[in-house]
Parts: sequence; structure tokens; C-alpha cells
Amino acid sequence: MSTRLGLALGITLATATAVWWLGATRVALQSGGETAPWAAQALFVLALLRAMLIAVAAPRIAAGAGYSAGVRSAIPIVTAAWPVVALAWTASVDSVARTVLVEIALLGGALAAPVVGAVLARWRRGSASALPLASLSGIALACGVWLLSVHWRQLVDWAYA
Amino acid sequence: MILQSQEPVSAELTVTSGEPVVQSTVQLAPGEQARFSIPVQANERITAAVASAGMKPERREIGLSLAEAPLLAWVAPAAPAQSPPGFHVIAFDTAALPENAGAYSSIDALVIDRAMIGALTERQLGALLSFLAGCGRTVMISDTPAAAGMLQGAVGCSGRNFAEAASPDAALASLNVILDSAGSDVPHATSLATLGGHELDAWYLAVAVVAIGMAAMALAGIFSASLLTAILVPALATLAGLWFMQSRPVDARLLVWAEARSGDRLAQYGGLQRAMSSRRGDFDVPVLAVLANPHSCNVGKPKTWAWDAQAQRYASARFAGRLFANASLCYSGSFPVTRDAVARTNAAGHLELRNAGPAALPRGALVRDGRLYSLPPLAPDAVLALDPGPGLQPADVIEREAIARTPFDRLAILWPLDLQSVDKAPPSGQAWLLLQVGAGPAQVQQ
Repeated sequence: MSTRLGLALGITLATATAVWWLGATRVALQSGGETAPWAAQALFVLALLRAMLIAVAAPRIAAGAGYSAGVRSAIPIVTAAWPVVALAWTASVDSVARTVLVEIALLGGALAAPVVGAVLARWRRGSASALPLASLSGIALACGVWLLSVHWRQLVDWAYA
Repeated sequence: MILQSQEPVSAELTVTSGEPVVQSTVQLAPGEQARFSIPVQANERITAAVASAGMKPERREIGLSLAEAPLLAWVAPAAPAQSPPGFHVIAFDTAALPENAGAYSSIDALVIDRAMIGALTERQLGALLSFLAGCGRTVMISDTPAAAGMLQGAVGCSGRNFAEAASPDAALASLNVILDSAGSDVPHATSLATLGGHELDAWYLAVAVVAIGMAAMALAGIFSASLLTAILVPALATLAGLWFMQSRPVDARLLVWAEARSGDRLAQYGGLQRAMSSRRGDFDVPVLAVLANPHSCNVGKPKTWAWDAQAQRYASARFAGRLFANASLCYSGSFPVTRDAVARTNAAGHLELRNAGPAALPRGALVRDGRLYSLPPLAPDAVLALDPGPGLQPADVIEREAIARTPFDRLAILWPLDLQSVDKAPPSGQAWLLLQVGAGPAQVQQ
């Protein structure tokens, strides 16, 4: 069930981003504008939204159903966007190494985020407050990702360099 | 540029003048000087580097001061009494005149003494004739009236941009007349890109790839709850999508638009060669040898030009390939045209079209009063009574462009041209000739 939930969330997110990106690209093609900046934006948006979605969903699922359920829901959120990520990369000027590095970081996040929920569940064993606390923690993590996104590109460039 | 080596060597020559870079493989014979004339874009700093295996790379750099005013090239021993207003005058001797017609694009007008033309080399003369054929603004100074001779026959635009003058001061006066009578040019690359339509094939492919990938993952999610499936199916969909996009051939297009007026011996054309790649990575586009003056367009510029040192021309251009990226090469030049037509009003007051050229006119479309009429084939000197009907609305962008470029009180004929003679031209290439019909002996009434 966790895997299907993650896949459904990932497909929805990737499809919405693809519709926005391809729509903007079509407008750019018809008006003679540049298309590469839209592809770079799509890569950035996909990375940011997947990171935030994992931050919100994985701790909550892990607090309720265990660490492995959290991982099973978080990883499909990352993988479902790969076809769109690959296509956006071919339309962008971003290097393949940087794009792969972002995906590896997201997979790392998908393995790490459920740890928060699992720790909270163990700490508040038997208490009804574990789930709300996990949700709050997830929202705080997502806010952190959002704030970090300002420096996201610089961080990725630094890591790549 | 002159290169010399003490031993036989094959060297890589790189000329950098902003973007794009020009690269060429040159063969140097021992002790012999090899001279290369490569037209490059004007830039404040131009660098030439030569490198070969086992030799120390050599590098030379020159600086240019770019003028903001239009340039008048002065190739005559006598200077004018006063400098022409608005122009920056550069005095040349004949040895400095270019061997490549493309190099003339850096000047706005030329004044040349008839006596100095005899000192030109064969390649320089060819370049000058191409400049004249391309309607380059030129005044020839000569003591003898009508001394242009061979040059007169090569002048394009029916000589509207060419004049003869007896003295340097008279040459400036003639130049002012030419500038005042400047007519409309052939559409430039932006207009040609509009005529060629928007390239959306790659976009439709991308939509299909995304849709199929998402559908595959949704189906996998319905039939399996395994984490391995949720990883393998997206990974395989990604690899399949990448393979499909990377294996697509480069989609090449060519559009040539030519225009001539009644009585012109040369038609002026602009060409736009476009290549759409759906893959990431560099790709080469061959430069079409038959089309003149290949150059970068405003958008879709190449990374590098490959210069063929033997043939003395650009052989190909290398572009950075990306999905949806547009690679463009522009051309401009002229070709001989024998088609001619004049319109006149007959005794009954009806408008007639006469084939005034030496060859039969093929079937085409007549542009008149913003409408289009079918024009049947017309033998030389044959006369056709024009249809007084309402005509047809333009059916596509080509016909709309023909109407837009025909003055409302004039007639024009639009023909498609055959591109089979253009080596390596894409099969989907299009070429069009728009002939402005001349006025016959009687007053044209429409």
C-alpha cells in the first residue's frame, strides 16, 4: 500500500510538472524564445517538490507503519519523476553529473526522512501524539527544504565542483 | 593569414573572433608560404592558433577598432574634397580587397576606381562581382563614360545600387542618390523562420514519451505493490525514452525566398537552413555549397564552423544539440533569372499580362490587389487577359508573405522553385521566387 501511495504521489507530481514545463516550452517555441531555461526550471521544481513531498509524507508514514513502509512510500516519489527528469535534462544545459547527483541526494533523503518518523514512534511508543508529532516534524523539514532551495543550486554546484 | 613550416605538417588552425569559432585542418609544405583568407565576424580581438602533433602551438592575436558609423570603403587614388557625412571612410589599396564575398558584408558602400580593377586577382574580382550581384552599394570612378563594361552585366537589382562617376566628389553625390533610392531587401532570417512555420515535431514526441512513461508506471502500480517494480519500471521507462530521443535523426529544413523585379537579370535570395535535434549532444550541419554567403543567424548560432582550406569555403557548422533547440544557418546571394512579365491595359480597358522574358513562364500564382489568381503557363511574348474575378484568399504563410511584399498598386507572380540542384538540400526544402511585374507601354489601371 505504501509503495502504491508513493507511486501515485510521484506520478501526480511529475505529470503536473511536465504539463507546466511542456506548456511553457510550447509557448516559447511558438514565440521564438529560449527553451533551455524552462527545462532548467523544470529540473529545479521537480527536485524541490519531491524533496518537500518526501519530507512531509515519509515521517508520518514511518511513524504509523514503520521505517520500511516510509522508505517504500518515499522512494517511488523519487523514481516516478525519472522519465520527466531525463527529458528535461536533454532540453537543458545542465550537466549529467549534476542531474545524477540531485537524484542520488533525493534517494538519500528518501532513506533518511522515515528515520524521523520511526524515532518519534519509538520515543512516543503507545502514545497518540506520535502521528501528529511526525506530521509536524515533516512540515518543519519541508519548510527547511524550501528555505534551503534558495541556495540549492549553489550547493549542488559546490558539491559537483 | 600566412602560415609557413620548415617540414611537411598537417596542422589544426583555430580562428576565434567571438562566437562561433572557426576550425580548419591545413596542410603545410616545407618552406612554402600558405595564405588563408577566412571570413570571420568582426570583433575587437581576433585570435589565430595553429597546433600540430609534435610542434609547439603558435598563437597570434590582433585587435580591431569597431566603427559605429557605416563604413565606406574607398579604393581610389584620389580622395574626395570633403568627407561624406554619416560615413566612416576607410581607404584601401587593391591588395587589401577581400577574396571572399562574405567579407564585403562588413562595409556599407564601396567607391572604386575603374583603373584599379585591373590589378585585382581572380579571386578578388570574383568576390567583387558577387558583391555587385548582391546589390552592394557601389560607385565606380572613371573618366570614360559607361566604362563599367563587364561589371555592368554583373550588377544586381537592375543597377539601382550602382553608379558611375567622373570624379571623387561626383562619386559621393552618386552615393547619396543610391542611398536615397534604397529599395526593400529580401526578407531576413526572422521572416524566413516565420515562413517555415514552428517546429513542434520534437514537442509532440516529448509529450508522447512523457505520457507513455506515466501510463507504464500507473499500470505497474495497479498490478504490483513491489518496491522493486516501483524502481525498475521508471528506470526502464527513462532509459527507453532517452534511447528513443537520442536515436532520432536530425530533422533538416531549408527555405529559400527569392525576389526580382521586371527587367532584373539577377534575383536576390535569402536562405534559412534549420536543423532540429531531439537529442542532447553536438551535431554537424553541412553548409550547402550552392547557396552563397553562409553566416550565423540571430538565433540558433553554431558553436564552430569547419573551414575547408582546399575548397576555400565553410564545409559544416557544429551545433550544441538539445531537445527543442533550433540550429540555424542563413544564406544570401543572387542567381540569374530570365523570367519577366509586364502588365498593360488593352484597348478595351482590360488588364493584360505579357511574358516579356525569353523563356516560357511556368504555372504560378498572380498577386493582385491583395488576392491570388491562378496563372497558367505562358509562352514567350504571349499575352494573357487577366481574370477580373475576386481571386482567392491566401491559403498559407507563403502566399500571405507574397501579398505582404507586393505593393497594393502592383502585380507580382509567385512560383515555387526546384531545389534539386542544391547539393545536400533536405527533401523537405522549399524555395520561392516572387517577381514584381513591370508596367507595359499603356498605363496600368486596376
